[in-house]
Amino acid sequence: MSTQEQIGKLQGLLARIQRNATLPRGGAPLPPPAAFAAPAALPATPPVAPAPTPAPVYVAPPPPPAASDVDDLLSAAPAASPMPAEVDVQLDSIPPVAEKPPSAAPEAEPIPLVNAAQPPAPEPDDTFSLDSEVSEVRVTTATREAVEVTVAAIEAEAEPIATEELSEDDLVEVTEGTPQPATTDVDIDFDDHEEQPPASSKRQVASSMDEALAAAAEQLDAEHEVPIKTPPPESGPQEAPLATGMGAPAAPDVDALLGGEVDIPTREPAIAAPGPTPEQLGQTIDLEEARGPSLELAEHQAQAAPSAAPVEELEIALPGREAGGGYDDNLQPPPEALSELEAHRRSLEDDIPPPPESLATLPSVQPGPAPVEVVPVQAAPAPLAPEVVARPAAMGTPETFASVRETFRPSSFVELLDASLALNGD
Amino acid sequence: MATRFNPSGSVSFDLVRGRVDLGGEHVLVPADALVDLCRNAGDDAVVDFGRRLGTAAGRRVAERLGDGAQASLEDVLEHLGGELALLGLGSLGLERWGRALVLTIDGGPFGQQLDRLLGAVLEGSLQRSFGRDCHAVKLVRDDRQVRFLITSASGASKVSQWLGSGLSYGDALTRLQKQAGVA
Repeated sequence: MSTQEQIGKLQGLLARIQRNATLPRGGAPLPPPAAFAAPAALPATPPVAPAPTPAPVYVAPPPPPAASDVDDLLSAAPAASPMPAEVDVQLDSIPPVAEKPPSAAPEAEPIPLVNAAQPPAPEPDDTFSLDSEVSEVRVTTATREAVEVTVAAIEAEAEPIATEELSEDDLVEVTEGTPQPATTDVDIDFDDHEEQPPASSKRQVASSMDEALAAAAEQLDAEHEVPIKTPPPESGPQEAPLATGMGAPAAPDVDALLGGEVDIPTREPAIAAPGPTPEQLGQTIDLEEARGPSLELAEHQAQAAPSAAPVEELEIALPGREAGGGYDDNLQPPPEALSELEAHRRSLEDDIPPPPESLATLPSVQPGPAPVEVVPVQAAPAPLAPEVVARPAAMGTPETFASVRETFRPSSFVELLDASLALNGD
Repeated sequence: MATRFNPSGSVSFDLVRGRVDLGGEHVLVPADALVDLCRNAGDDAVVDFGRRLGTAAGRRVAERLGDGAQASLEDVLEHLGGELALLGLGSLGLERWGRALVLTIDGGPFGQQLDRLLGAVLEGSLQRSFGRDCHAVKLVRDDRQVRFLITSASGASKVSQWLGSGLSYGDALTRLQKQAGVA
């Protein structure tokens, strides 16, 4: 790269800085590091030599090629030229800062962005075998502190525009390889100071806890002011007014609560605990034991006879079986039935088996006593099965009733042929 | 009682002379070639050709049966069917629909074509065997079987008219017998 190209690149960089200076300064996040063009060959350039000016110059250590490349690119950065390959070089790979010698420049003196009397560019060093195909190096910064230092340097070197703000890539270009101690222009105070209320705030600071509690109670009362009248239904749900009088819950004893642990009730007292309240415990009256003989419960006696099923209302219990077919013992049979009863009695006597012929041995089965002449009157039994009337056997043979249709059974082929020829359709 | 059909020696192949003898000199002709020939020959020529084939077969049947008037259905079916089988015209069957005689042919060599030729063969064979002038009317045809009614000329014309009007062959046979006062 020639000197003219390097100068042109620097001019372009300055123009971009000036363009960015016109933009409003904001807290927007820095854009990601951008790639910029580099010479075709990336020599492992030595550190930037001290400027001829008395200002101290950053002296880069001999180091990794990536850091040196950035300096070289900063010193000679023409317009981006499209090249076939890109190489991303992460600054994280830079060796620790402690290994680098600290800059000899005083803190008051900013690091010059461009050294006009820059010594001639050193010869490319192919130590790292970076040929001309690597034409673009993308540098990514990982340290925020370097950016801040760079801002100061740029402000000192560039035009005195107070609102100068550099983009991420610009800052990287300038300050790469010069990790500075953590110094920031914007001081963020992380001390946890209590936020002071504004002068117009109505808040008043309570001098004591009692005042604070009283103020909280007043605020609570003020917040609970609800209309007495029932709002219209379209006004939405309304908070019910607090109960007053006897039904109102007791006010909490603030002093008592402050003395010990405060239990915050999570439910209404009436719903939360069914037991007595602590106030009621002190008023407990012990009841005396019951006087008189002690009573003991006897075991449950099984009911001897099952009670009749309860008769439901609007139902009538039917009479029992005993009321159906019994007769009074004093009831006498009708005179016209005496002859039939006598005949029945005689028939029962005839059914008694005669005594065994041999009287020497008793029969194993002795005849029982004479049955009681009780003629139960029973209702007519219901028919258990239908009466079946058997079909009489069929007379004759089935073929007797066969069809009388005339059949044609030809005895020869010629007969069938003649019959078929006779079907002329006339 | 007619003898059983015995085709032994019915066909002789004289390979030296290059001739086929089946009660006379015959020619083995491809079926498809015969179909093409009959298509171009016309209906009357096909009918005449078929009657010639049937007459030759009927003559041999009559020779075997002797007195054809006493031949039973089975005898006629066996011998006439044997002769048609030798000609390669399919398997003959016999049905009786009341008084109507129906002959069937299964597995003919011509597929669903030249049914008129098969009917003419049946006409010629029956005429030569039994001395009756009869007509074979095709009742129905499916992919395997063709069914012919053997009837007179007037009966054949009426049945053909009924079938042409869409009447089924069963109904046609029933109507034919009803009009004859048989059923």
